[in-house]
Amino acid sequence: MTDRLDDLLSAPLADVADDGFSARVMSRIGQERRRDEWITYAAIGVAALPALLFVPLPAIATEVSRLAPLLASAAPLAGAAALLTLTLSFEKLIQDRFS
Amino acid sequence: MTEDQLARRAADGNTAAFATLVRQHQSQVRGFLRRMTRGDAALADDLAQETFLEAHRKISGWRGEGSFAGWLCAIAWSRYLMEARKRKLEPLDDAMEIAGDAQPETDSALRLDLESAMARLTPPERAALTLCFALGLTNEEAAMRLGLPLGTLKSHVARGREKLKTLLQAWQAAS
Repeated sequence: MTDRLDDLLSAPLADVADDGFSARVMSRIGQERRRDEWITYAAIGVAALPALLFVPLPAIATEVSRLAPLLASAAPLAGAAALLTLTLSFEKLIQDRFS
Repeated sequence: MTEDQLARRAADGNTAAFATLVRQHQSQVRGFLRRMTRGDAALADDLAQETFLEAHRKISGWRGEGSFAGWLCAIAWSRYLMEARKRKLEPLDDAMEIAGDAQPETDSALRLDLESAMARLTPPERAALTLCFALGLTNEEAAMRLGLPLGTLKSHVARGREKLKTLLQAWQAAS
């Protein structure tokens, strides 16, 4: 009996068909990840709100409107922006393909 | 790719690697939990889902010590214990004895198979026997995964085997 019992016990557990189980798990992981991202963004937003009260927004807006035309016509800056965009697009492409 | 490499990739945020691990281990984890819940497939699947979600959150803690299946079963075991306490599924200690069923009646004994016999053991006995035999873990690893001292694990295994032997006695006579 002991040998037979050991054989029975040592048999692998009965195979359980996936039937979409793995997909459901991964879907919930995606949901959790998105929820966590929203919580992070919301927390950052809430934490940043009091700081906004002390930011001199009108002065910043004036400076931006003064500098924007100068920056827009700067060729090196345009080149750097284009390079950055290409790099980020390439990285996204690699991530989508291999993850 | 080895299990360890997959786990490391998953820890780095690679979702595809974790999905592969889920596909590879879902059957074992669900099988283990079905045995723990005495065949309640719906509850076992809910617990298995929670197990994999927790594993995903803790994957960076995977150190490659022992088997990945054993690590998952440790999470599954703690999930099962929480649920059992919450729902009062069954006594979790050794209070559950088989004295009343020690000599199975002939007709019902014929229907006894390993799973129904297993269902009469205490949860630690079921878990210990499953990890040590069906999943092939060493006594040391099984004790670590179940959070038990080695001696306690061994006594659960020995007691579980004795109870199963008694329960399956009639089967032996029939064979």
